[in-house]
Amino acid sequence: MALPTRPHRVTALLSALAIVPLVSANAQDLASGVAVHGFGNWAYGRTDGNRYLSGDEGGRYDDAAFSLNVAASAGDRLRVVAQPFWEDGPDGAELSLDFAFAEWTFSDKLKLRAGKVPLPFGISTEVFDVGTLRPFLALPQAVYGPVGIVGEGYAGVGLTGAFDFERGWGLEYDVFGGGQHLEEFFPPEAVARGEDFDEPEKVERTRDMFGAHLVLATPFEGLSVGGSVYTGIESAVSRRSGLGLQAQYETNSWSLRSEYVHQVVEDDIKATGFYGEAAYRLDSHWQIAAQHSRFNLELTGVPAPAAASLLDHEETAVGLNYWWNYNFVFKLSFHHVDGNRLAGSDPRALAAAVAAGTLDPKTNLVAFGAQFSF
Amino acid sequence: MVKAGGAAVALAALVLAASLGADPAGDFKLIVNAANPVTALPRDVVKRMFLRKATTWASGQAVAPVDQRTNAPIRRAFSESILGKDPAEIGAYWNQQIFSGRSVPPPAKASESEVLAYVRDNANAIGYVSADTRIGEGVKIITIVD
Repeated sequence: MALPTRPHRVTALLSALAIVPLVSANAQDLASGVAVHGFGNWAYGRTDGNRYLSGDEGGRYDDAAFSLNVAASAGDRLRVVAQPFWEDGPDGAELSLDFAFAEWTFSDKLKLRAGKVPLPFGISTEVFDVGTLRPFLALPQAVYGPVGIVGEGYAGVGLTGAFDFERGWGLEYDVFGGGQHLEEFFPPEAVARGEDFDEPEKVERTRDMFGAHLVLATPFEGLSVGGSVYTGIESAVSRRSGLGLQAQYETNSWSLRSEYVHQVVEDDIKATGFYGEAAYRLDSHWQIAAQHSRFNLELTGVPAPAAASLLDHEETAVGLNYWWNYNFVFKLSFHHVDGNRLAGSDPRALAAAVAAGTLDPKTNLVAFGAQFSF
Repeated sequence: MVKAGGAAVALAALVLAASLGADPAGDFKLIVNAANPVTALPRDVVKRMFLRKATTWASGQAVAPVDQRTNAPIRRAFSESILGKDPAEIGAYWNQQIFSGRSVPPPAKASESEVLAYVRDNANAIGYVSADTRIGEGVKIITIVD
């Protein structure tokens, strides 16, 4: 939902921020059973030509976001949680609802959720925009970018819980049903298909969706593995199905993560994404990080496009972070991208660039920013 | 001499009582409401309660853990001894829980007297204070079992 005019946009943001002074530096209980937290970010990016993430050739300063998380307990078994999200960028400001749901606790092994719920898929979907939970400003785009594999939330009903077994084994699970919408950066696919597009962002709606997410904690402290699946019906009649595999090792010093995702939309597309990421704390403040990722899109029944790079994305990134504490971090990163599925020229000039043979398949980005939470 | 002997016994009893439930590694003691029938808890259960992974007592009543302020030395000692993590790691854990909508951290009180008041006023509360803190009425110490 785009906010209509600048004065209204400012008023809306100021109204939300008026809540912030009411909470302490550790944020929080406005009244018994109510907790308020939040997170935000700002980033600057500059590339050597194409647009990618927070950067373009001239340098962009306008990538900023803020979110409030409000959780209220009504008795011992009922919780209600909501998280609105404000985002500013080159196309203006946008207000959205990350999630708003009620949770009823039967036991630690079984909880019921209903509403718009964070999508339990992979390592980071549930905390999609929280920068203090990852080593780079943005999540790995081959999996979490606007490639149409996962949305941030589902609207429906789900069950969740956790089991603790002997000798350090544990299992967390989610099963859910409902619908979701995925935002996809459409121009590269549109140009590859020879189609026009109205807006760069296309919303794919999936209905009658069922899914599950399992995470197995191992006796090796910090190591967990897991998998996610979902299947549902696209806005037309095609079935969309996704599969994800994940492995994660987290200690005070190391953060090692890897994920593989595969998605099929019947008679339409096949998409595959993968990344591996490593981050190491040199001391309590400094952290270095590296990441490699790949994404590929296959269009069913469509001849190979003139620019094969439109369907591919391969990225290598290195980063250096300074953590003031676990709630506030400065991040500097360099990214090299091969492919134009996510990095490219102005979307409205993309078809002309492909026709003229001037589309640059390579992009270099330097990004700097601050991310915080409370 | 009888009076002096009695005083010595009383003093020894006080010292013994104060040390019950104290964790030698962190020099803190675990406390619950005096009406709580629990007298001892495994260390792993205490950990799960403070991480909100175990949310009920054996009676079925909801556990109400209470923490100390973030920069309190006793909090670091408790975090490392019971939770097995330093406060920064725990901070990241809670950010994951908060922003995925799964749970929120226990309330953090600014002083040990506030922790004691919280436990005294809440039949299902569990907290921790320094080993040498006088706990008073309405609160009792429980043992951490390894």
